[in-house]
Amino acid sequence: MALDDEIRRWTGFAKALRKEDREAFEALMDACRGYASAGSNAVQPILFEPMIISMLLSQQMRLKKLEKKMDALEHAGTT
Amino acid sequence: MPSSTQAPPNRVKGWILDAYPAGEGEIAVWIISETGKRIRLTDKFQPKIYVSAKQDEIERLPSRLYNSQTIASWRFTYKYAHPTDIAKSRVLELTLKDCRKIQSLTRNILKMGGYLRYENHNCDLKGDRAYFFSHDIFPLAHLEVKTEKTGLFYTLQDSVESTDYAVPELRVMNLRVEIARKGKIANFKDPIDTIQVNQNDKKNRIDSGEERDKLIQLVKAVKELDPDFVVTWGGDSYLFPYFTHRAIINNALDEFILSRDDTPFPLKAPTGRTFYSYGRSFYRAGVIRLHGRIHIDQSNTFILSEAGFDGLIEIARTCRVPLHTAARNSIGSSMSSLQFYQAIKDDVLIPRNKSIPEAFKSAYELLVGDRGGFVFEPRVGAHNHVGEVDFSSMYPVLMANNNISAETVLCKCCPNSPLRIPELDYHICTKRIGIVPKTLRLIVKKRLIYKRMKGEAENPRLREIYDKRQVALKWILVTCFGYLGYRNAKFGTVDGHMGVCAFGREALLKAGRTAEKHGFEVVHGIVDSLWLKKQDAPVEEYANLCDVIREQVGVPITFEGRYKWIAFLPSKTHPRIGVLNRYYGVMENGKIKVRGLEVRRKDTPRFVVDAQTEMISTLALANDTAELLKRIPDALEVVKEYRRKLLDGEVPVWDLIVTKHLSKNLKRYKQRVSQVIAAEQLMKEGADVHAGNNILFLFTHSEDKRHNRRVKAAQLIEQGVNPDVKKYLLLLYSSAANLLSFSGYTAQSVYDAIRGYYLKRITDY
Repeated sequence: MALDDEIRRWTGFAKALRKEDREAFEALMDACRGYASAGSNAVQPILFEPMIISMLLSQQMRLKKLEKKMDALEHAGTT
Repeated sequence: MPSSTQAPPNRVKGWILDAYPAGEGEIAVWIISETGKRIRLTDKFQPKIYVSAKQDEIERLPSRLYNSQTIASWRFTYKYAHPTDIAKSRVLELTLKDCRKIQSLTRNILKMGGYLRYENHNCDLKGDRAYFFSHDIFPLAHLEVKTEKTGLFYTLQDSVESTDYAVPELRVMNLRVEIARKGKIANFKDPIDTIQVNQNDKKNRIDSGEERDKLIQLVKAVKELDPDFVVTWGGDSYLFPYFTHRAIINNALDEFILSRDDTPFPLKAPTGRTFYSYGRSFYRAGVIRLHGRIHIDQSNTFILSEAGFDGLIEIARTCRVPLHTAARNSIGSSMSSLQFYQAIKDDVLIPRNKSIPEAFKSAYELLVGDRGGFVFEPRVGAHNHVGEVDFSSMYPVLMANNNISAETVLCKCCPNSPLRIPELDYHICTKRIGIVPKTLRLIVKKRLIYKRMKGEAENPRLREIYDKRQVALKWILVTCFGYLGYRNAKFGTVDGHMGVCAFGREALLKAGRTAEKHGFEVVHGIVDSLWLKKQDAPVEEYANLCDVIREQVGVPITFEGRYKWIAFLPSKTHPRIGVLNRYYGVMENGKIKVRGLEVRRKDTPRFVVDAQTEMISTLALANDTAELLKRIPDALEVVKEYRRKLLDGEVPVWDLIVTKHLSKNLKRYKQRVSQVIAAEQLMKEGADVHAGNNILFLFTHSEDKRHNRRVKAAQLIEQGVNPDVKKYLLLLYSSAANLLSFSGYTAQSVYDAIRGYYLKRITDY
């Protein structure tokens, strides 16, 4: 609930974005929603902080996935 | 004939059925003897209440009460005046001449002290319950009673802890009345038409003679059949007040006696009360009791409808609540009764008002403490190799294990206690066991025994009895945690309530960690359940994991089973994010488990429920996710068939009725939502509509600019009313899309798929 309010605070920002930017923005917000219970467990009075960590974490996870994929591709290329 | 007319024997073995104040300082007790006789005995009983105050204040009180006609005797004694006290203190014990005078004396004393100086204790116990407590007996306890000049002496041959107790053969009568009503709704002015009295296979229909004769015939029938329980529908709120009224009109009130002793009905029915709970208004009628028989109003009982007579008896025995009170009480009040008994046993006085304040908290501490259970967000999509493990009775067990009670959390005696609430770091007493955990331990223990006995019993009737008993006890466990935070719970504690949540979160997190260490992936977790995924993990591995977690957390955890497949569904607004508790799947034993879908909701029209159920049954034939995906076209075929039925007018209007709850009064709605429009139609026709009612209606032209045409209230449907086919098709598609959303379906794509082409927008239908 609180998270939704915080995201709503950024509606103006999202509105000003171009379509593909807006989609990426939504993906970031989804990252926050996806880690909502961890964020709540962090008990931070300023909600934006767990949100940033959530976004960073989701980026890290994507990097990891991509690295794995790349490794696999390189591996396939060398053999 | 009732046996009350005979002289009571001076020694009798049997079960105690009912007790109530009879004369001044007297209690009437009804015993069902081992030979099946119903015997009335009388006993002397003078209840005690306690007053605590500053010593000099309390010293003066006896002299001020010197003139009181209600007090038989007084003395000073030592008790724990408040649950949190470490040592006993000197309090005044007042013995009353009659148990019906407790309320007035309490009020007097409070007034004398200016509602400030004196605190009253143990003054909420009604006469019958105080009597049970003081003799350490309980309803339907098996005992031997000896009558002596000084009163009755009980030798208990039973125990509340007993799980294989014998219950006497009870006679249960069903009483119904039909009223010769003149208008649409019957009222007190309408005379009796027929009275129906059923007991076992004896069916009595009283429909001849004048109204007065009918009443007298009923009295005779009740005397002859001599039931122990009289079961009615609306006896408290309507039936008995109506009978009383009719008896007065027919000048027969003195003869209209249904009680076992000769007490007629009171002239005026006791008043009921309205209360508000979890956002809903409720009304509870005043209790109308019979003397020597137990009147149960089926419209005014929770426990009977949940757990039947076996459950009612179990609650009455375990919580030591008189049967007719147990039938009407909320589970919470019954549980309080058990706590009161425990408090009296422990020499702790029961406060009149809850007096334990919540610890002061900073905003940050509130942020830390005021949270519910923990969740692991679901991994959206369909999964293979998932098993479910559930903690059983997690909160009650945590409360019992961690000694959480009003007097133990933040106790005065052990500030350095090693037992601490996680996150909040509140200390918990290590010197004594709290009243709440003590009572819970009994319930948890008994329930486990019943569950075992149920599994072992071969006789189906016995299995049913044990099941009903454990269900009744389960309800205590379900409510005990919520009651801990309830403002009127005398041994409740908000800090403890938060503490239980903190322990609960810790337990689930630990369990999740342990599962991961054992190679499982946590695909979803809510409060006390975990869904764990591991390729080809055998059942034993799950069982092993449960053992490890149980050892670590101290709460029993059971393996529910493995799923052939399970689908966690995404949110409608954020398709990448999962929704808690919205999933369905098929377990290996073939059981289909569905949560949070339309089929589980009460407001969904039959038509949609049927369609979704059929789709689920189709999908349930799949043995893994690969097969599940292959079965989607079959499920869409179901949608197609239902669409055809709707378009061809084969779906009866009754299958399309939607039910919505009216949460506030009509005037307070700002938006003219469907249920409001339907309710207005009903009001126009003269029906009574209140907040809290359910409104049933049909969508007729849901997009029409004229509100009144959008829906039709179910009661007003006439021939020729046509449903809004487009609206119902939308509901059908979106319920199908919801079901298939794990693989990316939306209402539009469902529509496209069944039409086979992609040109039209769904809104064009």
